Amino acid sequence: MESLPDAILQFIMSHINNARDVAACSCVSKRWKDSLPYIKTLYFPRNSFDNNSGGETPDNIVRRMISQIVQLEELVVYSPFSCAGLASWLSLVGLSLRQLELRMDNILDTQALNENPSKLDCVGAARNLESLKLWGVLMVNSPKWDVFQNLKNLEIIGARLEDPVLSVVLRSCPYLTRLLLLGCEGVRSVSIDLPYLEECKMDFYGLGNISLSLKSPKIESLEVQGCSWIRVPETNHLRNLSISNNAGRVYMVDFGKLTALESLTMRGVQWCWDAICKMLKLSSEVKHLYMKVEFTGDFEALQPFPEIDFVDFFNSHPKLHKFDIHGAMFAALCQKNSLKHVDSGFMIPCLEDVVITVRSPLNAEQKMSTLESLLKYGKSLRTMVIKILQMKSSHSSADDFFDEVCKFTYQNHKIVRIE
Amino acid sequence: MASSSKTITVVSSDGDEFEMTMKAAEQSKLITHMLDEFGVSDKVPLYNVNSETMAKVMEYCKKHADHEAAKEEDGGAAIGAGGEEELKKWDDEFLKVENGLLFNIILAANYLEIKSLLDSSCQAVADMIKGKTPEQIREIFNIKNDFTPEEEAKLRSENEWAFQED
Repeated sequence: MESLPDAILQFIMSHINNARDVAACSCVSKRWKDSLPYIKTLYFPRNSFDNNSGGETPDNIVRRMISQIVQLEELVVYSPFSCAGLASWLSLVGLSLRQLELRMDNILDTQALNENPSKLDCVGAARNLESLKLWGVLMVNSPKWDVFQNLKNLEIIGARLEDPVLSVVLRSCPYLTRLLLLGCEGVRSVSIDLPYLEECKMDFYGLGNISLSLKSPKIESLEVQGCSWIRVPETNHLRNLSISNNAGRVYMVDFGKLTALESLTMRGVQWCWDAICKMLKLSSEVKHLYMKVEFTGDFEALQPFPEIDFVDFFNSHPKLHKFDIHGAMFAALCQKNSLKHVDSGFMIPCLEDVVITVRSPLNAEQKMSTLESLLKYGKSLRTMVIKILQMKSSHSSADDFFDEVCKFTYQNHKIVRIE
Repeated sequence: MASSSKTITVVSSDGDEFEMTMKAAEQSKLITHMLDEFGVSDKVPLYNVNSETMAKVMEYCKKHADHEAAKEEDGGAAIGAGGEEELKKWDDEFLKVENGLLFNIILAANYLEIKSLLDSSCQAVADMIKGKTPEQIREIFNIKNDFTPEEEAKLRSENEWAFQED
């Protein structure tokens, strides 16, 4: 070890980021202590100071360690800290920091409401950040931030927000390419206007009635949970789209052309039929379709899907490689235009993988017919997984249906399996 | 550059000769540069690397060259994400050697400019350090404690928070 040149020892040390390990290394020998100022990342896990019985406060320990590093680029603090502590750290490294991740944990903190400046305000001192990740943030007062010129990635996980505050925050990061807002509650209407945004993932708690407007012409991947109204006018680059709503009803979706779309996920308890049709129509080029919408219906009443013709559906989605059929979709597939009359050239050319959830034995004949047709016309089909969930019926039809499915599986065991 | 079927010869500090394919040789920036300067026919002297270490480095270069070739062939299809994981597992096993040899591998990777080997081997050393106390670290790497008693006491009290076990 002593034969290794200083530069190599420093390079090895740069792989040590956990503050506890850095502290241990600083006590090993003089040479090791002298190699530590060159590390670029410092990480304080949640339990860093659980055993701290010495005289120094955690805020001061963090400050001292930061002050011994020449040019810190990444700081991650999951352990508790105070506003004054954060301010003192950023006064030392605010300008060199490229990545900052903090567990704010002040959603339930009533004191935090009145703090001035707030922890969130203090974050503004790290002016050159490229990536900011905050956990458990109270965002009910607009932070006093200048524009983050270099901020490309913003992640907020667990937040109590208000609409105007979110707007102020996003206005301070006009160059974002990636935005994650997960486990956020308190917003009603979200309007995003970020010209460089490529990836966006949002998950809102609440009643599932949030409206979202997104103006980001470069968007490539969008995942939203909890919205009932979605408008994204420019979608020329959108490749991956996922729309879910666990708590409310999806009733309006408005997208531009989805010619680049490769993967579409639709999930939720209830979607208006109009919205479902629109999405299915726009996604004609899609390779992977995941459908798990339980019911349709424009008002409170939950309704099953109207019939969807098997042949029409696959003709309008010719590039489908993988199809996950859960919820009401499988029950709705039928063959209105009997396949006997259909063009002999009909086939499902690209479909390779199918996953189906079966819940009820109603319309057993129609369902078996769908399974058989998938196999018959799916020339490239490699696997079909049939998931059978809690068929709640003591009626013998449930057993009969299950028998049919088992027979079908057995006859086509190379491709089909039951889970 | 010459076709992949050609081989070159490198010579260790102990005088032993090792043959390697061009593709394997390309893993090392230094060897590539030397070949550009001096041509293929000569034997490349690597006086900073002994035979024991050289044999290990050869093994690494061959493995990574084969992996790259396989990737190019299928257009990446056969390798996929699983392939990268497998390679990482191979690297981890490959570096399970006694410390002296590990440090020689680090020095050789640095000298021969094989970035991926330098990264992996330094990470392996860092992994040995994680979660250890200063005393344990000194023992593993045979390091002399050169702090004065006063210096040591000061460091102890400053870093006390990191060491107390439940």
